[in-house]
Parts: sequence; C-alpha cells; structure tokens
Amino acid sequence: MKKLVILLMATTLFFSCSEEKGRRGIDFDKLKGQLQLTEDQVAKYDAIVTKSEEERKKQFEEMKASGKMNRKGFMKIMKTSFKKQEEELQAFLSEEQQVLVHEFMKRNMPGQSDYSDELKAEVIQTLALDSAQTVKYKAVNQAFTKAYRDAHDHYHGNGEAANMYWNQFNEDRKAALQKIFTEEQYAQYLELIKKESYRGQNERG
Amino acid sequence: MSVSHLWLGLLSSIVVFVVCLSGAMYSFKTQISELLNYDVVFNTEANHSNWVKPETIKINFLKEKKKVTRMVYPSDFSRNVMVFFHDLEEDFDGHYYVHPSTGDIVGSNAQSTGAFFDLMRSIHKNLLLGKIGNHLVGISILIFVVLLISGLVLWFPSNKKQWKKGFQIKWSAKLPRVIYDLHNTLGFYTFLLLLFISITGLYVSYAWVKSAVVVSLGGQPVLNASNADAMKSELSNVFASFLEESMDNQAEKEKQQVEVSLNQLLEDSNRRLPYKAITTIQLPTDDNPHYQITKVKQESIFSAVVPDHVKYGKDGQFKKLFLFSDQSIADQFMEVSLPLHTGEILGLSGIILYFLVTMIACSMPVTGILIWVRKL
Repeated sequence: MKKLVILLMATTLFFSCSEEKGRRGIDFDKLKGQLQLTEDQVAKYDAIVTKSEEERKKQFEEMKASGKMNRKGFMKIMKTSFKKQEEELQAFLSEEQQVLVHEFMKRNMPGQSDYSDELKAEVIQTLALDSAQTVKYKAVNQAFTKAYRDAHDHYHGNGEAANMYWNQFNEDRKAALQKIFTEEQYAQYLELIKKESYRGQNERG
Repeated sequence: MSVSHLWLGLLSSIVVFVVCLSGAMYSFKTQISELLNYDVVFNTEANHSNWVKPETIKINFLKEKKKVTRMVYPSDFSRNVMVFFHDLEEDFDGHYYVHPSTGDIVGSNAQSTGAFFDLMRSIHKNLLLGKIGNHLVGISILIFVVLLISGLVLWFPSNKKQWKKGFQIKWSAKLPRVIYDLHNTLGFYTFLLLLFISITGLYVSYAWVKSAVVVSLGGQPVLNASNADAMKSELSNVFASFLEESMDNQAEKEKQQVEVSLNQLLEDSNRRLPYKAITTIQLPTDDNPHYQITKVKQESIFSAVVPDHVKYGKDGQFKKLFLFSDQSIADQFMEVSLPLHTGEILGLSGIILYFLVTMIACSMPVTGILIWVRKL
C-alpha cells in the first residue's frame, strides 16, 4: 500500500507541474523590473505589453491558418511587432528609461546572435569604410554568423559553451578585421563594439 | 540488481511512458501529413511521358508574379513536384505542388498537422516543462539506459532449461505469467534498438554525450575551459573556411545577373551524380547568391537522408561538388543523428520498425508496474 501511495504522489507531482511558459521572444517582465516605473507608467506598460502580445498571437494564428507559416515570416512578425511596441513604450518613458528599453530590446531581439544591424551600420559610417572595405567587413560578419551557427550542434543547450564559441569566433573576426581596417579604423572599431556586449545567448537550441 | 531495477523503473516510468508514446506518434508526422493532403502530394495518373523542365516551372510561376526559390523533384512519377516561391505582389512565402509532367499547379497542403505534431515534439523533448522538462527527460532516459542493461542481466537465464522461456511468450499461461513474459521477452528482443534510440536521444539532449560520441568518431569535442587553448587553432581554421566562403559569396553578389538555364544545371548535376534521387534545386537568394542542386539517393539502404550537393555560381558556372561520403565520420554522424534517432534513416520501413519498438518500450513501465503491484 505504501508503495502505491508513493506511485500516486509521483504521478500527481508530474501532472501538477505540466504547464509550459508559452511566451516567445523578449522577456518583458524582466525589462519591467529594470525600469523602475511609476504607478502610472506600470499601468500603461502592462496595457501595451498585453495588447502587443495578443496582436502577435493573432498574427501567428492567421499565418498558420493561411498555410504560409515559415521562419522568415515568423521573424518578420516578431521584429515588426517589437519595433512598434518599443515606439509605444518610448512615448511615456523618461530619456533614461528609453535608452534602457532600446538597449534591452536590441539585445534580446529573437534570432539576433550577433551585434545589431544598427551597430554594424554605425561601424561602416563612423570608420568611413570604402566600398571594398565594406564588402569585406560584411563578409567577415557573415563568416562569424555562419561559424557560430555551424557550431550550434556542439553548444546546443549549453549556455557556457555557446558563450565560449561566440568569444572564440569573435576573436577570429577581430583578427580578420585587423587586416582589412587601418590601425586607426581598428581602434575605432574596438571602441564602438563596447556598446554591445556578448549577444550569443539569443541563439536558440 | 532486481531491487534497483524496480526502483529506478518506478522513478522513471511515467516520463519514459510519455516520452516513448509522444515519440512514436511524432515519427509519423510526414506520412500523416502527406496522407491528409494525398490529392496534392501524390500523382495518381498512370501515364507519364517526361519530367516537366525546371525552367518551364520557373517561367510559369513568374507569369503569376511568383518567384521560385526552390523545387523538389521526387524520384518517380508517383508524386508531384513541390515548388516553393515568394509572392512578389503580396510579399509572402508559399508552396504549390505541380504535376510532374505537365507542370500544372495541383494545389498546396490544405490540411496542417503542424500544431498537433509540434505539441508531440514538445512533450517528447521537455514534457511541456521547458528547461526543467529537458533535464527530467534526459535523466529519465539515462535511467532507462541503466534499466535496459540491468534488465538484460536479469533476463539471463540461470540454467539451460530456462533459456527457452527467455525467448518466447507463453500465451497459454495465466495472465501474470503472460505479463511477465511480455516484459522479459520483449525487453530482450528490443534491447539493442532501444539502447541505440536512447543513446541517440541523449546525444541530442546532453552536450557531454554529444561530445563523447563525436570525439569517439574522431571529431571535434565541445569547447570548454580545459580544452580552449588546444582547440583555438582548429576553430580559427573553421572560421577561415567560412570567411573564404563568405568572400566568395560577396564576390558572387557583385557579379552581373545573367540568364541561367535551370534545365542545363539539372542536366549537369545528373551527369555528376548519376543515380535515382529526390532532387532539390535551390535558386539564389539575397543571403546565398549560388545555385545549389541536392540529390538524396534512393537506391541505397540509407535512402532517406544522405545528400550530395552540386554548387553553381550566379552565372551558372560549376563551383563545387560536395559528397556525403567525403565528409569525416563524425560530420556524417552529426548530419544523420536525428534520422538515426527517428528511424527515418531507413525510410518508411525504419519508421515503422522504430514505432513498434517504441510502443514496446511504452509497455515496459506498464508491465513492470503490473508485475510489481501483483507482488505487493
């Protein structure tokens, strides 16, 4: 009898915690915790987050129903929606909070395992890369992304390993860029990338 | 031994049951989806002359403001050709099946089984419990591996007379004996395959298992603090090869777009890879400016998943031939690890075999508990 009770308890425990957290993409609860919102801001923040999540859910369901579900379309919905959500949030936040929101969303954008497109564009502009350098710079970044993603089978589900692969390939990227940039450009580059630290954690298994 | 077999079995029973059942259901994803969309996936007409040319398909789609991105030619006329496209007017990606001889559009998959099978996959991988679930499944399968081995030890008959009993189920006996035989004998017959399925599953779940398997096959271990220095140059070489490819891609992008005959590319690839196969023609995209033709051989035992590739430049010039057989054993294993786990490596017969074996694995916790309850 005692054994039967143990068995029943194990079954109950198993089914009692069978609920998955369904949210995809950016963790807005975590962001909320970092913003130190006023009472009035909390209400607005929650309303926008809820409304945006419902909109995204609706769009995904529509895409599924139309039979046109694909990763590219999925990412497009996510990115467009998050961008719109960011604009709505910025409208009632202080300047300091706006910077926090922008950086958080940029850092946690789904599928973004490398520096943001914004930073890459800034590098091209600030370093005044000529067309040949720009082509090479893009090729080096593409090589970085491919090498990191190709290693996915190795670091899958292992955050620490993912971090190490990202840093190793980033060192290789720096070495490759050093050959493309002038000394001055390379120094500027190193300064610019300080704006965004490691982003590899967004690469999902 | 029998006590630990019992308690470890009880501990992992529910998870093993759920994981096996969901895995068995998920293995038929492709077949069920194709059956539900039978009219568009399969070509039921008996008479066929020639294959529709890829160039014809491309032009026909372009007339409808659809830019073809990929075509999948089946190995025979029993199926329709699958064409993926980007709709230039409405800006979405979609697919159609076209008749293998006429090129007429037959339709697209109307019945989606995606939601159901996504649920099955999530249950199989993490019991819908996220990362905690991943670990629960991983630990339970590790226990299951121990159970398989201890079960084999327990199965070993103590004397010659007992040997016959271990190989067959005595259906004429009373129910408790039949249940015992189902657990004991079926467990013996499925031991090897279940061990293999479990280990390939653990390979997917645990980095250390993956690392151990890949290293044992002569591949690269997973990067960690202790081997970081030793692996630095190896990873730099990996990066260098990707850089070379990216530079080539960028140079290819700079080239002028010229009219390339897909018919000629297909003929060329068939000359280089002269065997019956499922053939995929990948057209250049913004990210990848190359044409690539992939053939999956249908003549070998590993019919489902062993691909060879031929790469062409934007101008249609031959660039490189990638043969599966040229890859290292470790890379080959990494490429086929999932089909090895699902049985797809052997085609439909493999999936059916895995299904039966997995259902037997599902019955193990049930018969095991029934044997135990009867002894209470």
